[in-house]
Amino acid sequence: MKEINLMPQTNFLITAAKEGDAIALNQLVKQWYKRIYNFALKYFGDHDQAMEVTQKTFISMNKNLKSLQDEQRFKSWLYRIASNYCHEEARRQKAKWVFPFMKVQSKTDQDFIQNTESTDRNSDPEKEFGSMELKQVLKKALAELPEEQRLVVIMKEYEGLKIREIAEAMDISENTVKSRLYYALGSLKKLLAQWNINQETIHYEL
Amino acid sequence: MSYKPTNEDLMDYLYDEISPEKKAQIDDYIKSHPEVKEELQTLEATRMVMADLNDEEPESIPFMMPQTNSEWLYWRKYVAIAATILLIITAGWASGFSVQYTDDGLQMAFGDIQNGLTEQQVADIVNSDRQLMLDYMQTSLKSVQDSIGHELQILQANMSSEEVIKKVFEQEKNDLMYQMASLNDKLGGDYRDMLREIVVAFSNNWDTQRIEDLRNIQAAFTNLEDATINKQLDLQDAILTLSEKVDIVAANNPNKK
Repeated sequence: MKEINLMPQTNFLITAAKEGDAIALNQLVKQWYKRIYNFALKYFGDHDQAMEVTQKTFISMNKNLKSLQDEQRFKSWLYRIASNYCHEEARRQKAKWVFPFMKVQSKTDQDFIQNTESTDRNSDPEKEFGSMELKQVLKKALAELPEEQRLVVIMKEYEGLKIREIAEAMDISENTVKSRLYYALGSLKKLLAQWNINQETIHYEL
Repeated sequence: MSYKPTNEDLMDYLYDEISPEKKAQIDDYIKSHPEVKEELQTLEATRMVMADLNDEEPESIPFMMPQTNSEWLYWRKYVAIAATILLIITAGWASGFSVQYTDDGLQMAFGDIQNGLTEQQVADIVNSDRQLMLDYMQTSLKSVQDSIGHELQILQANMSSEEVIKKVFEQEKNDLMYQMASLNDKLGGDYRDMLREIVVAFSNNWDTQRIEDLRNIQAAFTNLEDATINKQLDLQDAILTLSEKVDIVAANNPNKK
């Protein structure tokens, strides 16, 4: 499912993009755009912020690709940029004081509303709504984690990075990555138990 | 058996990023420690649950352009700085901006440099102004004094002559008399008017009263007349009835004839 190891042509693409090949650069963006978007989406649980971070990440990638010396480290390098922007964006959002009535309906809200409308006559609204709700709950569980644990879990569980790559991306030791992972999984386990979610309830819902 | 895997080792094991020797070591340990096995299993179950959060599609993929003209980008800011300096110099030249350094300090101006007044000059201006004001006030005071003295002298001279006093007294008397006479006239006129009004009002009132009385008398007469006529009619009726009755009686008594 998560077959996102460095594809054989990626190194070639990086080399070409570094030399200013527009096609190679766009191929690179195409390959990684969805990954970085989903990475940021799981960090924020919000489409607009995820898009913001994704765009900033690729603009930065385009600008700084030349300074990347080791092409093998492209993946951790890219995730490092993305997580830095995530951190920055989160801080900016915290500093920004928004009145509740000033909040604009985001794409996530729109999706939520649209998902409650069933278009298919045969579809089971309870089932659809149920799986949608589960998604929200899992997002909420991720959001409950402290930032450094959340980053590690997303990179490991959803982005499939190796522990070594996470350590490179976050500029910490591998042992720190492992202990953060351990505590993050423990917290998630507790949260899910608290909300009474386990494999059986999910399969029942599905 | 003193080996005990750390939490970090368990993570290595869980994610299978571990050397075969160490893996075997932990496998052995787990066999004798079911609680560790259970912990690993629940963590694995948590991972499975979390894996249900699927990827989502981003709405659009942007098109990136590599920075081919980086040479120009490098020079651009220096060109911008140079252009700005040139612009400032041109603007300064056009507006006649000039700078001069003298003993008094740095002087800047658009056009010719004009020095302001020094402190001494300002003090002089203030002093001369003050002196001017003082002179003016003294002169005016003096002239007022002079005129008052003059008036006083005239007054004293008049006081001494009896004739003047008499003349003034006479004049005052005449004025007063004239005023009183005119007042009296005015007052007299007013009184006459008022009296006439009262008399007119009284006579009007009298007239209406008399007319009212006459009307009442007439009404009484009319009533009397009506009553008299009614009485006459009644009398006629009574005579008529009486004569009828007499006729009846006469007819019934033929014998009497």
